[in-house]
Amino acid sequence: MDLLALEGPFLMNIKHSLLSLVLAGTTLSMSAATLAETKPVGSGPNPYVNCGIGAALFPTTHWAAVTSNIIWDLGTTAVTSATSSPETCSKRNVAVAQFILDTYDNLAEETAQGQGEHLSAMLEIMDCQQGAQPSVISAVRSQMGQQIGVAGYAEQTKIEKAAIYYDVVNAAAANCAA
Amino acid sequence: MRPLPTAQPEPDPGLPAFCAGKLSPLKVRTPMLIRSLLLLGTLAAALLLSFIAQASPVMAAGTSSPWQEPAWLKLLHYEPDRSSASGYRSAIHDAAFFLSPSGATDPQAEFEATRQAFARAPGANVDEHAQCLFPARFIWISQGAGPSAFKALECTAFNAWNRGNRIDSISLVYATGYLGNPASFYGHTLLKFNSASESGQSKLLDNSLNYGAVVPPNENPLRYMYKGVFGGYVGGFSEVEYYFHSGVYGEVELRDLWEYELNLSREQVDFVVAHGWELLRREYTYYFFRKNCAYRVAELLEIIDGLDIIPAARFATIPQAVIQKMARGTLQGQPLIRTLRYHPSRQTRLYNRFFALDADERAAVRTAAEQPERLQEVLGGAPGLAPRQRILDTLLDYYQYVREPDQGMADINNSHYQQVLQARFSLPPGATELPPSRQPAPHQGRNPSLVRIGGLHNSARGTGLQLSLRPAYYDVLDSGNGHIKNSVLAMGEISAVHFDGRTELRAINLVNLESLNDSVTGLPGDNGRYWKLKLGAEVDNLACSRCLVAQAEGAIGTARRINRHLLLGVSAAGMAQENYQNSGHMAAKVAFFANMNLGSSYSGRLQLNQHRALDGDQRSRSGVTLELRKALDTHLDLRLGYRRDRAEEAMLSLGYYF
Repeated sequence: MDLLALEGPFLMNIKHSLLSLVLAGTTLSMSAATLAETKPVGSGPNPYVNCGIGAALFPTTHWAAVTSNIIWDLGTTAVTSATSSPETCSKRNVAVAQFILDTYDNLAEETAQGQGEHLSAMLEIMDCQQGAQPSVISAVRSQMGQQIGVAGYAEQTKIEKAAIYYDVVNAAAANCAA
Repeated sequence: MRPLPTAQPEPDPGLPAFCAGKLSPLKVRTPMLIRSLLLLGTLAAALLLSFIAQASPVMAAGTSSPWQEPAWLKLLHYEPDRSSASGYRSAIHDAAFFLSPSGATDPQAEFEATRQAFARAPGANVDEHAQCLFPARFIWISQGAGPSAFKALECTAFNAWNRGNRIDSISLVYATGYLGNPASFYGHTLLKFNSASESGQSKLLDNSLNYGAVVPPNENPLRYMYKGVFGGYVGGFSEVEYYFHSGVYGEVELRDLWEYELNLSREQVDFVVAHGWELLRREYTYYFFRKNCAYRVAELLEIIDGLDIIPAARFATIPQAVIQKMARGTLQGQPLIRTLRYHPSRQTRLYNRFFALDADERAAVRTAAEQPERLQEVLGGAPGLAPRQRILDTLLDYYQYVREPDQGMADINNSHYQQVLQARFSLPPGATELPPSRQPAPHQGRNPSLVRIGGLHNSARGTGLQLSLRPAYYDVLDSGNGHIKNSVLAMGEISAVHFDGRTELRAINLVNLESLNDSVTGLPGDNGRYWKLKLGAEVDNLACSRCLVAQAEGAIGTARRINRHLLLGVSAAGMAQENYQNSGHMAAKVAFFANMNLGSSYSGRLQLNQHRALDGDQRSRSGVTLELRKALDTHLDLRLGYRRDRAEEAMLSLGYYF
């Protein structure tokens, strides 16, 4: 049998993500206006909407879809859509977006705490210089503190929260690359 | 030629084995388990049969030619096969893994084709050259042929994959067991390629290699079990950055991770990494029992000369047994393990944090968990920033443990979590220290299989002997390192008694599972949930002879820890059974149990139950079971038991773990 035809959670997630992407594309732009008064956070262009991120969400709760099941090509599932710029779907941006989606809860908590190994790893993917990291973290913390306090944030899906976080980090880390 | 490994490729035992560990009591949905019960019976029966009828290894001899050397046979994953002219067939069955058309079954043809391919000039895409596709073979053949035999190419794709040759160590990562999937009961192992520490790269971004089965979406559970046991799935290695596994195992499935960094030289590391590249996405046949994740990962490491970590037991490869053998092993006179790192799951981190709090902080956490609307009041009452941070970080762990993120606002805990996170943002930054864990390491535990012999006296049948065999894995009294306390995971257990010159079966437990959330914190949601699933056959009562009846039992209940030595619980069970002397097909049972733990050497369990048949003669009867265990050493124990069920019986037994 064809390997691709057997990709359990992988294909399952792709189906899920196609729907998610349509929804996310709509809701992200809508949420931008409601979640922040100043900057349209999460309005894109955004790897979650434009590059197919979300196809590799954590394994679903399907009982057979954990541990014993292999996931081929995990992390290389991003596809560039015709509407996105090459920069939006650059390898680094996609890697950052994927990392944020996969570890969002850890990142949110570490951002609140002001430090943590997931934060460091994320900034490393972004090639953010060590010396610049404290100020980037501080800026992200300040922005995310506001975002989380906005009514409706808790109702956002994980991919929507990840997209908001991605934009906040992207803005804060714009000039920290080595 | 490169020094030869001592271990030989193993023959296909005919019947596959199981990828196995400890149970995680939460995040498990009972309907899934009920659906799995019959399948587990099949699986356990296969385990038992394969344990009894083990195939004997057959290995072709002779190492006079390079293609007959164990290193070459290992690199190509040749396994003995009588149907092949050469006596070998590779475990990998996609053609792209071989450079000779007959390479899958002909080590000599493959060796010669590989040498020729290495000498060819590269085409337009260097990465498609044999040297770049098979860098481990290139290392090995070059060592034998001499450095000038081939002109080494610059392989862009492989160099990117091995992080510019900056991987300087390898870890075998052990994930403790998970009840969400029968194939994960016994744990899991994977490889982590560690970037050089001077590179400054986050360990979360290290690459990892994971072996698993390729299972179609929404696979029928019956087919899943059947194909998993009998080799119906393609298996293979996949790669992903380590953060993915730490998230899935540590955050979603709540499984502790133990990272064993191997004491390998840089050349050995390079060889394994190169071979890992060769194996990516190659197709094997996956078997749950023997040739599973633990086997294939260990096999990959065994390409290192002299490394021997695959357990000898041929009925199954239990991941913990690989870890134990590795911990006992040496390589070139040095211990095989360099360092051990422990990555506690979110659940374990919650417990560690909670019990590191002082009494006031613990009370504050309890108040906030029970009455979330009082969060700000609780924080206002805390004396300073550090206590507030500790309270909130504990609550973050707590809500991550109990909430169901997929349910959104339908689960109120998601909203409470958000409030706690918001409160944490409102405080000044600063991380709280995670208290060290005192979890015993899996490699220090006992062996997984048990044989037990005991002398007994039965009030109805006299004095006799009992012999028991349990291929895997643990019960309430002997659950230890890498297992879940107060739980049971036993498969393929069989026991026989001998009275008055007659030997008869007393019980065959295909599957016996008990899961107990210990209610460690007592916070809402950490609530002492208990369930049991049992499938097999057992004597109808202790007074009868040759009265084995098939039974299936499911129970749910609750338990509460009284102190660190005593846990009390109650359960209600439904049973379906074979009708024996009009005893009926259906029965209900209620039970009370007390689990006792007196240090690391002594443990015990008292169980009182009341059983009532729902059809047949509709009789009621009560029973008592008391069992006390003394661990004599890591692999030996002594048990004293008393049971009453129509007759009374006392037994003193000695158990040996192997």
